[in-house]
Amino acid sequence: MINVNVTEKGPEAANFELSPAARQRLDKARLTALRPGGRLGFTPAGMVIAIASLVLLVLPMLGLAQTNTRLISQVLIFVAFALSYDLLFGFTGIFSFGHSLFFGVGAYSVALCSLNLGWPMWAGAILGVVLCGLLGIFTGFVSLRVQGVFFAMVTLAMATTAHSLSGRLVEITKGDEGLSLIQAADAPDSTTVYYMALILAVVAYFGLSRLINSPLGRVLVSIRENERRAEMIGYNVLRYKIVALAFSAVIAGLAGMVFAFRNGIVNPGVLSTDISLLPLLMVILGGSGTLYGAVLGAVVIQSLNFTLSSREFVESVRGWAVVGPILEHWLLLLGLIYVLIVLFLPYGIVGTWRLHRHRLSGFFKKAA
Amino acid sequence: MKVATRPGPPAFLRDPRLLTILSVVAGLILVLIYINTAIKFPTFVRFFINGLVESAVLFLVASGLSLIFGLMDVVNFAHGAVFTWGGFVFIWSFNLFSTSPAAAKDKTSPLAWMQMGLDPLPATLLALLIGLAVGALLGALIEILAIRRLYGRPVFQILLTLGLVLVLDESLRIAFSLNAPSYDLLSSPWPSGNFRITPDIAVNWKSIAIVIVGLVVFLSVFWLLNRSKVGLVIRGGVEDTQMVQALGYNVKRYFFGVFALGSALAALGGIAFTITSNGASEGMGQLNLLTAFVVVVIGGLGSFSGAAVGALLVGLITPFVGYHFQAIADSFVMILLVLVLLVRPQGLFGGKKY
Repeated sequence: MINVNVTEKGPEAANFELSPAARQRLDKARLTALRPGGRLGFTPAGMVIAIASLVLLVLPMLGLAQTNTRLISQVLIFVAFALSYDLLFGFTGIFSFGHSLFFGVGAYSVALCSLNLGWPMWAGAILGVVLCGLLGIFTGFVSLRVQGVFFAMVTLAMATTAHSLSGRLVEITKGDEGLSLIQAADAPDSTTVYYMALILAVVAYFGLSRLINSPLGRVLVSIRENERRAEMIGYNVLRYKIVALAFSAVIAGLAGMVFAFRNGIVNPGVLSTDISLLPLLMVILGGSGTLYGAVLGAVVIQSLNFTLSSREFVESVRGWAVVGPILEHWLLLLGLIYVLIVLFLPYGIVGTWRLHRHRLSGFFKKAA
Repeated sequence: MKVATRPGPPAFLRDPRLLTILSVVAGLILVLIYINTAIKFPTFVRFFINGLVESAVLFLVASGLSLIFGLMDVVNFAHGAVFTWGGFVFIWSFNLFSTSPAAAKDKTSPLAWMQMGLDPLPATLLALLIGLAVGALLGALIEILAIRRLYGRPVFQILLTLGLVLVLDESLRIAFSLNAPSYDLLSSPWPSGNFRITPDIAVNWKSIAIVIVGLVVFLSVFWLLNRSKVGLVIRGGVEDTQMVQALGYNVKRYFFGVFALGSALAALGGIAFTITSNGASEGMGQLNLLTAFVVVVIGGLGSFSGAAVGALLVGLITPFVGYHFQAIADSFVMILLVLVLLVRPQGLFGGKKY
């Protein structure tokens, strides 16, 4: 039996080690994301998310500590960010590696307009949205001619360039010190930021759900499944990809803006590669190609981040043998989580559940 | 009967070799104009020599990447982390070897035998061997534990190697208990002193050594790939794994060897980098990795000599760009990458279609 398989390429290569039956199941599982009943996203998962967002809506009225408000708003921001990435990676099959570009541009546009130009926040936000959309179109126009790993590298190059420029242009961005939004007169308080993040996440979920179940969304999925065939049928693949990138860029930019309000400070860190990596990890962990997978991934990763890098946790594991030193270092742990997910959960939580669901139901049938 | 052809330049102008020669000549003319107008000659030579050393270091990193990424199509972001590990292990063992036994603080530690109080040159050579071994070992571990399951799946390779970068960087921080961002050599690894070309222009001995090492590595890997039986099996294995396997070669083992060799070259690059800059820092791996990616893409995937030419180009141009346009000094390489991918995605010498 030959295990090494270098020559196999293309969309099928990702699951070449599966048996034909398993592959068929996986294809079926992935495509159930498109359901006529789910036009507006009111599938069972959509209902759960709607109820959860209602709970989150009333939560601050019942009294919520400020740390928790800030914590939940960060999770919600990254939910929106992961959703925007899922549109690219999970639904259109574009592998971007510089998504922090849009996140950072959104954050910087609000901060720069309000601090350097003296504009009100909403004007900066509108400018940021327009800027992110144009930047998405430009990026797509320039870099979507190359594919796969090379597209990833071009986007990485763009984000890295923006990162180094934001550190270098000290007169405008104040370099590594960052721009403090707290000084601005109309900076929103933490409850307002919470509601902004909630609205953004909910609108992103149901909006993307609508988008994906529209004719446009189906073309995007067909591009993911087989780009050549979509082109042969007569769709202008490049144009559709650019549209997807622009939508994704706008949502990522909005997430970046709310992140700027939430942190009260904008520094080159928002453009760093770490920020690009987070949504990728979230989408992969949750299960790419499903919106609730992205939501799940974002919630899991952010809560892990909060609990495992908190001081109480680090102090509590200090004495443990062998695992203690590993658990103490959040980045080491994050790296290990990455490796384990890629090796053992390559289809994410949702994908793995769908792959093995039939076993469970078979087991229950046998029992009955 | 006349077949309709697309209008375009005549066939002899489309020959890639001719194009290469023409562009080199044009480049030389531009350089001469540049020297005459913008810069003094000794300054130019100094920049040129610095650029040559930088190219040699870059080539060492890029050569490993060219084997792993260009030839075997494995996107390995952990290459940069191996580079950093190589540099740090080199410094650590160099410092140990050159500490004299009398000055040793802890005589009971299991590493006490390493404190031999050697002269810089033998200490460098021994530390070099240890650094290379650690690089090869890390590469072997990465291949066995992870990459082996992921041949042909670039997205998962990127994710996995990025996770490995986090693990390797953080464990580096733990292993060398880093608080300060840099980690320095105790003494200079080479006898100080210069080699004078003219009274104005002096070259450091270590620069010459690094350039020679770069040349030796280029020639030996080129020979290994293109003139030896092993290279034939590897190139064949990349083209058609199943066929070569059916002929009785254990392709898996050959790929394992290539991966370990590539990682050892990354460590060698890290060592050369630490020698040129007299110290190591945590971020040096990622920085050089991105540049090396650009070099490999410029040279053309799968072309080893392309990587050498790409390293020369990038290494020689960068000091001049940094001198004239400081604001884009960091991002110049990235701009270059975007331009190359847009104009000639297969690179200068690449036969593969991206």
